[in-house]
Amino acid sequence: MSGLRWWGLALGSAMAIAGCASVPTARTDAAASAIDDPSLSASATSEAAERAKGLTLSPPDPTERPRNSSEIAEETLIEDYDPWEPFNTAMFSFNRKVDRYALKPVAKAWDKIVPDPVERSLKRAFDNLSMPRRLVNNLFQLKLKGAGQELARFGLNTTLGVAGLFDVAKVFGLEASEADTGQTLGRYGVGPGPYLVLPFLPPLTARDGIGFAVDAALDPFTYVIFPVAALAGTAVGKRVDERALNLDLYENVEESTVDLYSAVRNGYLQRRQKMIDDSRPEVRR
Amino acid sequence: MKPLRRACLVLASALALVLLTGRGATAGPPTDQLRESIDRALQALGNPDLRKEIRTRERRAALRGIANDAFDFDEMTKRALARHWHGRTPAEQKEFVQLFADLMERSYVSKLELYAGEKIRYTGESAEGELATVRTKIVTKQGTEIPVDYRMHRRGDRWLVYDVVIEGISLVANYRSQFNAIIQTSTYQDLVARMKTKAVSVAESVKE
Repeated sequence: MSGLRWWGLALGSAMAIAGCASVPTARTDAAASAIDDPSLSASATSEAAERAKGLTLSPPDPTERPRNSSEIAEETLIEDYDPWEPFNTAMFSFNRKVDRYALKPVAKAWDKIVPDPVERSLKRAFDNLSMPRRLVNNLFQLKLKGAGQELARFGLNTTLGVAGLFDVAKVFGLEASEADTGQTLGRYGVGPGPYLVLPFLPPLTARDGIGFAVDAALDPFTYVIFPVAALAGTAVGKRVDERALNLDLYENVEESTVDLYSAVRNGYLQRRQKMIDDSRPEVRR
Repeated sequence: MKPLRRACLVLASALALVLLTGRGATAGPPTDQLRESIDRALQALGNPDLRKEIRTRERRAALRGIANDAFDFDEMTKRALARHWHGRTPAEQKEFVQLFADLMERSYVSKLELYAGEKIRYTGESAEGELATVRTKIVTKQGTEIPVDYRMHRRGDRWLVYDVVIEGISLVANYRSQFNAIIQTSTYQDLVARMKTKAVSVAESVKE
């Protein structure tokens, strides 16, 4: 244990120092892979001195700075923008019923029959197929490295990884670079708009709802099979599989909230804001 | 492993060593104190005597003690109730801190229980005067990384956690929106009542 801890500490500090930790793209593009990625090592080492200087001289990233008391006063004024709350609340409780009486039982049965590794393989296959969405949005967000990684991952995982069932590309240090259309819109200054809950769908905002529609258009399934059926088919398959993978996690959320609707709304809005902040180079620095 | 990659790894480790034997620029007292608490918590979670399901209550009691040392529940409650904090009497405030601590413990500790046996990496720290943020990553068995940031402030010689940010979601901000939603559509008394029933229902499910 202590060996492990030491290694974790050493690795953690090293990455922070070498600047590997602030390598762009989504959270899966973590520091560890950055070190493993040969294309990065050269720039990482040459940047090390520069960043070490930056660490001591310049103030920390404003987004990560702890808040002071005047900011607390400010944030009490900010409420989650939800003018369509009556509609959303109704949809939210409908979705919960769908979850309780349809999705969860199916997912539980699925979880019993299908071993975990297979569930994860299926998730990877679904993820592999949504490459066009990530590729296009990486390009629009000017994350060229991310776009390249997505192309390379798709090539490797579709062939060597047997239609995406296995993540071969990860072995080569090629991590997925998550990006979607709602995020791209946000990056270019489109505000989230009102919070929006639609039947059978995860939480959205007006902006992310538009993004969701565009993302669906970028999903190859939409064209290969009959569009509507395809959308429904993949959506159900995906949801069942993900639900099965997260059975414990969902219980846990309910246990620790006093008002589930506002908890989910706030969690979604915070998370999206973070994803958009992360996609902006000036904030990421 | 390619030579270039290995070189980067070796270099990174060497850099870490130099900085650790000197003065750790990224791991200061906040990280050290947080790590100590988390290690104690993980130890309690991994303790085979406490690990059995029947022992859940004892284990939670042990974890509660650790949490009380590491978290500033007063500050968390103040921040979560925000403008609703000031209208309350000291007795009400005290009661709410207790209820909220219970709730936080359930949500955080039970999450920690889910992650038991998984690795925690400390990826950085930024400190400014009395305030600090310690960044960690929980690495699950499948290799997924969950970023968890701890916002801390100094009280005397101790650094205490006043917010936990999981995957970009601040727990305190999340509870603030829940509390606000309940108080605005109903009353403060209703919020307290709900917190109490929540505590009871969870206690029962633990007993089972």
